[in-house]
Amino acid sequence: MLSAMPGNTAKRDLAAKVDHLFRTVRPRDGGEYSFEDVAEAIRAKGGPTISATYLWQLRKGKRDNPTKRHLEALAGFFGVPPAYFFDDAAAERIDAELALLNALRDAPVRQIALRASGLSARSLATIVEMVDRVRELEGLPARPDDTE
Amino acid sequence: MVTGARRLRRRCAALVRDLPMPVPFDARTLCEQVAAQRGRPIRLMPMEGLSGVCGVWVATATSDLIFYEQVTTPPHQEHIILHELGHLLCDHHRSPDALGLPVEQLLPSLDPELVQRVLGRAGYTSEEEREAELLASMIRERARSHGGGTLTDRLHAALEDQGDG
Repeated sequence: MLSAMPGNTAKRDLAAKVDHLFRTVRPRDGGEYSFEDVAEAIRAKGGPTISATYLWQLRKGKRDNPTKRHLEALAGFFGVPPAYFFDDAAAERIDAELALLNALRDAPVRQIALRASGLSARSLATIVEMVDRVRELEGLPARPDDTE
Repeated sequence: MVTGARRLRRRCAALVRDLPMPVPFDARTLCEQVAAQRGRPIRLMPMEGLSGVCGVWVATATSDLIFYEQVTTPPHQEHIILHELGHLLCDHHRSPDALGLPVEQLLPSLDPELVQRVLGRAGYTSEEEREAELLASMIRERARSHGGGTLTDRLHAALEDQGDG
């Protein structure tokens, strides 16, 4: 509840979420997508006009007034449902999936099967832990922590 | 798809028939024997707090790992291990989905295209798929050249021809 300042929370949350997407959803090889990459991809898909500068402002929390279409396009680019920006419970679950996706990136795992239905965010975190243990057992270095 | 399902059933029946049966029966011993048979270690990995998951099978390039909940009764543990061993035995000869991951189960909210973009396809199961492909063609070839073989071989050949035609 550190950031529970009325009027400031939504802005912080939106910027934090946009920032989180940039940091966790990265191309297979290389660093983060650039603001230009995102703007261009949204334009190419026939989405709303959204400038690289505006994306930067959203990420930094300097602007917090995107339209619904902007957020949908941004969610679409990063492969998450638009609910990510509107629904905190959904965002928590989606963050857990993104964390698992990152754990699986370059993990020495060829196949996974499990017995479960409707995995909770917590179960997903356990699977992240497992994938990291597999990494360790296979003698690979620990992943840089990209989900902080 | 019917032939696909039949094929899978037949394969599983054959797999079970070929399984070693430790006496007295013990899931951990069975895992050891299966590992020896396949020439791939199976590591049993007890874990705490797998709530809602029970067990997970992970295949790497060199080994199989079965994670199972340790804070439960021994019969339940055995059941979980056998279930995961079942995945391991079936999936080895099946071409899994391109990523080898139950994506819909693990990452249901994410755009499948994103998952593919981040994880890539190459290297994940291409080897596995080649192996499955080779196996299938070898079985077909054998069934044809023998003309007879076992009843299963003949059934297999007939169904394969039908399926391909």
